[in-house]
This record gives sequence, structure tokens and C-alpha cells, in this order.
Amino acid sequence: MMLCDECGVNQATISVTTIINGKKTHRNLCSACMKKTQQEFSHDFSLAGLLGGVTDYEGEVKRCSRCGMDYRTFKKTGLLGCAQCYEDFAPQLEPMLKRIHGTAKHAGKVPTRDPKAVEMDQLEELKRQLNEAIREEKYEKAALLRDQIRGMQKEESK
Amino acid sequence: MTEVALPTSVISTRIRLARNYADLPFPNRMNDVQASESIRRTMEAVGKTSFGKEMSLRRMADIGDLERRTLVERHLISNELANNADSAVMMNAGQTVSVMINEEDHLRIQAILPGLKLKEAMREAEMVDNAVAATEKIAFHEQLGYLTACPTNTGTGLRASVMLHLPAITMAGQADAISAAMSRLGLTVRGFYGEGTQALGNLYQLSNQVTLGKKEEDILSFLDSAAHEVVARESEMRDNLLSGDRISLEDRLMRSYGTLLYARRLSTREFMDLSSDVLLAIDLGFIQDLDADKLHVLRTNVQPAMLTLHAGHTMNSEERDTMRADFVRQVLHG
Repeated sequence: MMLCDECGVNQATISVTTIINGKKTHRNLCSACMKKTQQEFSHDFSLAGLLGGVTDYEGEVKRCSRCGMDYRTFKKTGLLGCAQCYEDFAPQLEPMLKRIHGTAKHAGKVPTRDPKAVEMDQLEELKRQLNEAIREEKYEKAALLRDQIRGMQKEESK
Repeated sequence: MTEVALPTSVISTRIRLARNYADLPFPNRMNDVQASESIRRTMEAVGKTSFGKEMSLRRMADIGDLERRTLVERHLISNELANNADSAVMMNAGQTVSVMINEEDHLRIQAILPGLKLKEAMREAEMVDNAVAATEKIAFHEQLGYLTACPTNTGTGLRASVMLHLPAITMAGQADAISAAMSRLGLTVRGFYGEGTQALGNLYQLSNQVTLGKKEEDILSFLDSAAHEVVARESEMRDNLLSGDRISLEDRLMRSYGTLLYARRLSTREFMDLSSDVLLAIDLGFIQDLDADKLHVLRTNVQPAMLTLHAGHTMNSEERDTMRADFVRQVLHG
């Protein structure tokens, strides 16, 4: 008969091997002490989980290097703090974006830094207004718009 | 101007682009200096253009609560913007284009046009977008697209929506089913006025939910075909109504018209319900001498804050209801 390593009173029924910080320990325990150990262990474990959230779990404490937004606040409000947040929270954001949109790869417009594009926009808009003025028989307005368009086209060909 | 008979069930189209300045924190993390800077940049960039010169700027800090609420009622600004003193709005004279500054994002560029005009509204919004991008660095990520405060807008930053008048679908009890079907397609259906699924005046807003991974034009054409689909369903339901007890239907809708024409007191809700009946009566040909546009204009003008503005003094709800009825009679008889 083997006595319990923990209480030294009851008969040991279970053999337990634990590895803590790489150090292996082997113990024989009775069922009552085993239960107690398990409870302690699960307590420790949940505490570790919590602490892990603060220490290891990158996402939970990570702050944006530029605006200081922390990930937990983002999860609460749903709002990121600046463009840099997208870089600093990338590992967490990518799966989230995939969940929301089905993908995380933009396929649309790219900002146009070309002032020429704006001019073209304006020209097009003026032409649209000109057509509208003609259709509505507002000829005075049409004449003004025509002059404006000519002026812009002259600028352009310079 | 009139293209192929536009479906009368589509009241209006709205495009909204969310944009941010690359170097400023998003509005939820901005201080007031940065907030003013965001307003200044927008004014300068947009003000350089020919259309921008015709836009006016209103700072929330400078205008009273009443004016803010009228802007909300006209959907030119959101409630959030109205409640933020560090924000502003730029609007064109026709109030078809507005730029909310320092809402959830630095810029919410918005274009609203009557009818189903997604491409046209997109053009209007893009003009402002391009004007800003030409002089300012916009928060943009090669892989993720336009960066927005909320990840639900990331990518194109585009929310396109159409306002639909769906009385027959609502009467047939199919609004929830349509909403569920649209949601499977990545689209959202919401009541346009009021909260939740209870759509005031049978007006619904159909909009895209997904903003990332699709081209703008694809988002628009998909929404366009979905809107046509819903409108076709509405037409089908209207045909059903007509093939049923037609006299009962006509009687009910014309009674609503009678009430609008002669009532001495109307609440917002009652006005919305009755005007929905009258719009349907126009579409079905029961009423021929009334232009639906009159009702659309009325709808904006009889909202509480707009009425108060007209009156020039605060009113209790009974006074407001009386004034609303007066106003409606004036427009409909006039």
C-alpha cells in the first residue's frame, strides 16, 4: 500500500506528474488531495489566463504606437483611433475584417493626388450644368457656363 | 430629363464616402486643435474648386440647436454630428451635396439625389473626394483601402443607399422576409425614419453592408439591381392589391387623401402614414391631379424642427400638429 504524498494519511490512488517551469515532479495522491490540487490548479489557471491577458496576450493590452488607443477600448467602442492602429492591430484586425467583409483585400478606388483630375471633374460638371441650362431654356445661365468652360479649356491648352 | 419611366417606388439615392486625413487621429481621439485643423483643411481643399466656392460652411459651435435639428431632418447631417461642437458641415446651395467634418470619420462626403441615380450621386461625391485628395494625404492602405474609424467602413468607405416606398410589400407582411433575403446578399434594409424595423410611412432604406473587397462600381450596380428586384416585388404586390377588393382599397386610400386635404391637426406619424397612402394612390392612378413631388417636399418640411423654424417660436406638440395640418392643406390645395 502506498500513502498519499500530500496528506500522508490516505491510500494513494492516483499518480500525478506535473511540469512546472520545466521541472518535472512525480507524486502519488489520494482522491481527496487530488481534488484539492485540481481546484487550486484551475484557480491558478484562470488567474494565469487573466494575467496572460495583460502580459502575454498581445491583442488585449497592445496600444497603438501613435495615438495610444488600446485594443480593449477599441473592442468596446468599435472605433479605431488613427490610421496607425490598422498597422499596430493588424493581426487582430485582419480576421475581423474578413469576418465583416468576407475578405481583407481592397479592390476599389485609390486616392488620386492629381490636380488635373480635379480640373477634369470641374469641366465635366460645368458641361453637365450647361446641358441642363440649355434643356431648361435658361440661356443666360448657359452663356455664362459656356464662357467658364472656354476659359478653363484655354487654361488647359496653355 | 426623363429616362425610361423610373420606378416611382424609389424616392431618392444617397452616396456616402468615409475619408480620413492620414496624419490626424480619427475624431474620437482628436483634441480641439486637431478638430479645427481638420475643418480648415477641408474648407481649403474643397474651397479651391468651382463647386466648392458655392458651398457654405456651418460650424456646429456657431449654430443653434434648432438649426442643427433641421439639418438632421433633411439628412444633411447625422445626430452624432449635431451633438459634436467641434464638427462642421459644408453644403452646396441645392443641398444635394454635403460634407460632414469630424463625424465618426474626418470626412463623410454625402450626395443625395431624387430617384434611382446611384452613378450620378457617386460622381457628385467623388468630385469632393478628388478635390480633397489632390491637396491632402488621405488615410489609405495598399491592401485595406481607405482607413476608417470603424472597420465596417474600411476599404471603399462607400455606403450607397436608396430610399424605397414599399406600401404593398408592407401590407402583405413581407417586409421582414425581404429584409432577410437582402441581408443574405450583403445588403441592409432599415426604416428610413424612426427606429428599428417599424418603417414610418412605409419608407425603407436599402444599402450595402460590405465595403471592402469590391469595386465601387460593382457595389453600385449590385445595389441597383437589388433595388430593381425589390421594386419589381412591390409592383407584383400592388397588382395583387388591385386584383383583390379594388373598391375597398381605393376607398381607404382616398379617405387618407381626404384627411390630408381637410384635417386641422396632424401628428408626424399620421402625416407619414397618410402620405404613404396618397403616394400609392397616385402610383395606382386613383389620384391624377397631384404631383408626388409635393408630398416629398412636404415630408421634409413638416418634420418637427422644420415646422418650428417656420413658426419662428417654440410650440407644444398640439400647436405643431395644427401648424402641420395648415401647412399640408396650403400645399395640397395650392
